[in-house]
Amino acid sequence: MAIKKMKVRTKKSRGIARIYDVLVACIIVVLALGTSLSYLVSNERSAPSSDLHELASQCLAYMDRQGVLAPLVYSESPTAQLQSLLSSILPPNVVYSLTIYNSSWTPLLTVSDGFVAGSTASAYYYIGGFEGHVNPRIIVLTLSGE
Amino acid sequence: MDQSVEAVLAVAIFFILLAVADTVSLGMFSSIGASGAADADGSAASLISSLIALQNNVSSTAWSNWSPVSNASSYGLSPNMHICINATAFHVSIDGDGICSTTQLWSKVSGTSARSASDSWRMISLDDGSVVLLVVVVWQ
Repeated sequence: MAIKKMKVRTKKSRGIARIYDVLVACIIVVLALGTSLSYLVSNERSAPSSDLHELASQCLAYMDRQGVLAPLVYSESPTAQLQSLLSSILPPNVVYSLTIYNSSWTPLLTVSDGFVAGSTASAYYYIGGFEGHVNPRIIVLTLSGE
Repeated sequence: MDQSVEAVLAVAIFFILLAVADTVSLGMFSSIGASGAADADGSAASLISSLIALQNNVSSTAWSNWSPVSNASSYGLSPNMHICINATAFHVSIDGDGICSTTQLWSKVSGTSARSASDSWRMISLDDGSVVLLVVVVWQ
């Protein structure tokens, strides 16, 4: 009788153990896929656009070369003119944020046009002074491609 | 539990979980592949804009006489790639009252950009004080 009971228990245990085996196998498969996918996703980083950086840099350099940048940076209220100028120079699907800092990196003015963080790139430009007065300004132009 | 029923149940559980895991991983792999294709389009756009910039350099005469070509094979690219080139030249100046003005000198377009694609932007200052904004769009 005792032997019969033991046999029944063994039979039942073996039956449940198969489901446990399958669950363990599934956990191993899911863990392996999860590990490999997380490795792939973590290695897929969006590189900063070198084109956008060049565009920002060239834009500031051209404005300075044309003698436009310094008069605007040191003027009383340059917001509207800067917005108008940048909107006409930059491609329509590129949004911008231009910030003017003083020499201690205190932001003095920010001009932007629906700027959203995404694939962005920045360039900065240094102006030592204007009309013979030393008064450094640092201009940071950040561009984002929509 | 009957052994045959239990075996069927075990196999069913395994295949259902395997199918779910496969579907999720397939979706993630395809999204990674799509972003890789977009990177390739962006590189092609950057290559074309660099070639055009090198070809015309900073000469205002060369840029005025230049005609954009949107044929992919002209740049050694696969014929199933579509290209749109848009170049605009303008001149920025400021008057004595501190008022800025932008004058568009010319604009040249080749190809049509009808869908979301990868762009390359370049701004080239020319020898006559004007600037060319070159936008190249590539998609497959």
